[in-house]
Amino acid sequence: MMDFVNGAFRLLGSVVRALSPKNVARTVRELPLYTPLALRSVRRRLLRYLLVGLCLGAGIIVFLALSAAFRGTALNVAGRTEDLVLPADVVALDLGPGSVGSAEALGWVSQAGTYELFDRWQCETSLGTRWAIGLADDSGLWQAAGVGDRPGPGEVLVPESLAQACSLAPGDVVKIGVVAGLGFTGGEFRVRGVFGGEVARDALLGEALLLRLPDVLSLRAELGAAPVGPGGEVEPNAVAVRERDAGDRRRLIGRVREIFPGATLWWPELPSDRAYRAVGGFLSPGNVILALVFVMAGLGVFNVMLLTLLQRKVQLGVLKALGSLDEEVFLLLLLEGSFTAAGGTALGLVGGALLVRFVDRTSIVPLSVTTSSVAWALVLAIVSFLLAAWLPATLCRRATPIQLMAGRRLYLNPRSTCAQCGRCGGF
Amino acid sequence: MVETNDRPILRATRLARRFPVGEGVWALKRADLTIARGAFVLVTGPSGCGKTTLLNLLGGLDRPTRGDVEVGGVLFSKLNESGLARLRRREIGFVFQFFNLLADLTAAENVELPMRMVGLRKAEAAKRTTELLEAVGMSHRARHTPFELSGGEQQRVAVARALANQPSIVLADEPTGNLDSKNSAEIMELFKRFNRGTGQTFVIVSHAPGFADYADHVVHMKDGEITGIDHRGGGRG
Repeated sequence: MMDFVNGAFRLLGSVVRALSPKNVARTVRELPLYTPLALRSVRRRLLRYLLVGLCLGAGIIVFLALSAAFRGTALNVAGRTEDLVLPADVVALDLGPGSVGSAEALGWVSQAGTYELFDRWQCETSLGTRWAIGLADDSGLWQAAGVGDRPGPGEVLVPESLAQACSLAPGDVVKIGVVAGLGFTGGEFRVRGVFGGEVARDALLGEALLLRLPDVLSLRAELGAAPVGPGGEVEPNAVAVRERDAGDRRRLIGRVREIFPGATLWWPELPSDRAYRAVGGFLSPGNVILALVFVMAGLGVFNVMLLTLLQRKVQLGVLKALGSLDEEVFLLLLLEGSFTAAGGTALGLVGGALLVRFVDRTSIVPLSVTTSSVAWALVLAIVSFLLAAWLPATLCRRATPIQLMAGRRLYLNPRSTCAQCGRCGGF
Repeated sequence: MVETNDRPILRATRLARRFPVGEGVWALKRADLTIARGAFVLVTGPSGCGKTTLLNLLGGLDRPTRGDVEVGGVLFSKLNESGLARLRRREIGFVFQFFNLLADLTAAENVELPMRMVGLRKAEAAKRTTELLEAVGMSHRARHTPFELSGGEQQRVAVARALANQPSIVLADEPTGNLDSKNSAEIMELFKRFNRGTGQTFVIVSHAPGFADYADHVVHMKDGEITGIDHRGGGRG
């Protein structure tokens, strides 16, 4: 384990050293000597090095095609899914213990938008177990939900579907309360009217009984069914926030979550949010698959580069014997791989774009190559190439000239104890 | 201590090399050797006696398990890998049994490469390459790749490459081991000619007894140790 940690630190150290200004300057100085050598080597092993380019090119094509497919599918699904209908931009329910006095805590909302407290209570009624929503007389939710006729004191509005199912008519009485022991305790409310249309689809108000906030709070206080603050006050248990300017919703959600960490939050999800959730999350299934594409491409590059190194041990050993520095041999190997890798990357980008365009003609989902997917493909291709080529080049860099010329096994750890053990077999 | 002269260019002190194979094998148990500037030294002995190991250690291609090597007053143990590589570039030329020319390059490019490594400009390197190839009789094959050359021709190019940076020491490991007798003699003559002409030190490993005639000093080895040295004073050629 310690060897592994030491090895990791050494590798990190070598990366940092390689990127130091002094080493970069020396590398640039050595390029005129080693670039023609690398080109000559690639020409002599063209088929093998083409495989490096093909691995990366194929990786990029698959990456672009899959990312276009994931994105297209997500957008397609987003387009077909109905938004959650809510009378507010953010709703926090069951604010939890310590939420009393939340009006002060919510003062900041006035900068970002408007808020209001309301009550949501799951209770027993003569119509079965129902949600009762208590809204203030001046609540913006009445208007936002399109409820024209508001209930007065001791009155209730019932959903149209429920009224039809239970044959309710204005003036009928609905009992609202709790079951205590074997009996029912509560109050009686007269049906003021029914509501339907857009409100019936509302996730919050749709199937609930609508009452005046003071009625709900006083009934709950009377029944002992409400959270009570230190001063004996009963406060609503839900908050609705409407943002002043569109586009600040994420911040709004974050703040509400900060104030009421135990609350359940609802908000109408944007189509872009749904698409992001499907493909954009760091560890989303789509991204894991896309990353695996480059892991596979990197393994291909690694195999080809390792094979090339192992078949040229003597030649590379001779270079070292003649006086090439370890870093220069390392540079030579990276250069050799990078020529075809660059070609393969360009081929992959063009091929991927053409493939996506071709498939888009017959596809039911909209497919397109985005700038960000091209940028990610480039970054991942470069990183996977460097990681894949780094190990073979490092093996060669660490080997002594005689180790290479005699065709001895190479070990990542250059200490002789590693060769003495030899259990891993080396390269 | 076995000495060939009192004006040393190369000195090996208590040199030993153990290979970590199984329980460990001592390929070279102990070698004390001092070689003078301009000497022509033949290291000889039966197969497996440690000749090549000694040469690799003298050339800084391998690190000793014990002891040290000093070339022109510089101790190898004081140098890191980069320092050792830089010293090899300028001070030591190598000729190998299997020629080991870089297959991707032409004969001329093979000779030019060490010069470019030390920073010689292309035009100067090309001029010196032409001179060297002429000196080894290979100027007519300058643009040929190693695959298009015979063994003797490849070894001539390898000799030219070893001499490219005018090193103080040329180390040759069985340079005639893969050549017929005619080519072998030609290569040895070539070494001797450069040794006489430039005053460079040559250390040649060979188990062919006939080549002792070329050498000023013959170092005999057996079982990883130097068993004796013959001072011949001038040698053939």
